[in-house]
Amino acid sequence: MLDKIDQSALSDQSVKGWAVQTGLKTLKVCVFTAGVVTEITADVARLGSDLPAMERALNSSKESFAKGDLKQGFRHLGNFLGLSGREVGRATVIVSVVKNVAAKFISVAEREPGLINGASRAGRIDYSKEFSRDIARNFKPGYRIFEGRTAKDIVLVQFHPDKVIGAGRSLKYWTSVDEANAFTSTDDIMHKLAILPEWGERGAVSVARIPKGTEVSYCVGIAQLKKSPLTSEVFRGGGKQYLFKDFDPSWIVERRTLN
Amino acid sequence: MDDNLQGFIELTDKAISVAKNKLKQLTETNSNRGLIEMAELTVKNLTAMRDNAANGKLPRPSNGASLGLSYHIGDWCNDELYELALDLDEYYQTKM
Repeated sequence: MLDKIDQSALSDQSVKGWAVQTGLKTLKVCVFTAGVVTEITADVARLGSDLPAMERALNSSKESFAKGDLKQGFRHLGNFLGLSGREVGRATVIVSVVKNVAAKFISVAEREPGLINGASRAGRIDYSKEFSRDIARNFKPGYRIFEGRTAKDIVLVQFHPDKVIGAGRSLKYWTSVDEANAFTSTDDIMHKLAILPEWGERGAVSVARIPKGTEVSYCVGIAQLKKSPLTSEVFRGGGKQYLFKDFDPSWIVERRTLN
Repeated sequence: MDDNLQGFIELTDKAISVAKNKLKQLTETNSNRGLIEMAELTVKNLTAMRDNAANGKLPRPSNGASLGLSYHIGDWCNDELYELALDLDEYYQTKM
C-alpha cells in the first residue's frame, strides 16, 4: 500500500527529523531501472540532516550523470540519501514511493531540472517512450492529448494484475471513476477496456487522485477494439481510457484486490 | 502464404526470440518473480499467435482492431520487445 507524501510537513525540518518524529526506523526508496523497480531500504539513523551537504552530493551526482557515469552518479545519490543500498547499474528515473526520504529529494530535484538522466518530472515513472505510437495502436480516432496543469482534482481507476509496479504491471493506462462505476462485472471491464484475458487476470484495482494544479501529460479517448490472436474473441473496447506520459506512484490513494 | 502474412510471421519470430532472451536474462539474474512470469507468458502467447498465423487462424483485421500486444507487453517492459509489440500491432492494423 502506498502512502501519500505530505511534503508540507517536510518544509521546515530535515528529512531525518521528520522521519524520527514520525517514528520510522527505516525508509524505502524505489529506483526504477529501465522499467524495473529496485527497492532500497535506508536506515533512518544513517540519514543525513545537513541539507547543504546533501545538495553537494546531488551536484556531484548530476556531474556524474552528465558524464554518463551512472554507477558513480548513484553512489553520490546514495550519499545524498544516506543509503546503504545496493549498487544500481543502469537507470533512467529515480522516484520515491512509500513514506520516504525522497520527498526532500524531489524538492531539490525540481529546482534542478534535468538532474537525473532521463527524468522528465521528478518522482514519476516515465512512460514517454513510444507514447504516440501507443496512442495510434490502442485508441479509437477522436482521442485528445492534454498537456498542462489540471484544473481540478482528477480521480482515476485502474484494474490491473495483482503484481508490483514495474514488475509485471505499469501505471500507464487508467479509466475514469464514472466509467469504472458503470462496469457491471469483470467481463464487462475486460470488454469495454479491451483487455485480453490471455495476458492474466485483473486481480486488483487501484484508485489515484491527481491534485488540482498538477502538471500532467496524458491522452484520453476511447479504447480501441481488440481481437485475441489466440482465440479470435472480440473485445469491443469503447470504454474511456487515459494513457499517461508519466505517472507518480504517490498519486495512488487506494489499492484493493478483487474477488 | 501471402507476403504480408509471411512478413507478420517473421516479425513474430523476431519478437519470440527477443522475449526468450529476455526471459533467460531475467531468470539468470534472479529477477522479480512477477517479471519472470510476464516474460514466460509473453513467450507462450507469442508462440501460440505464431502457430495460429501459420495455420491461417489469426483473426481477420477489421475496424482498426488491435491484437493488444503493445498494450499488454508495454505493461511490463519498455525495451526492444515493447517496440516489436508495437511493430506487430501496427503491421496487423495496416498491412494485413
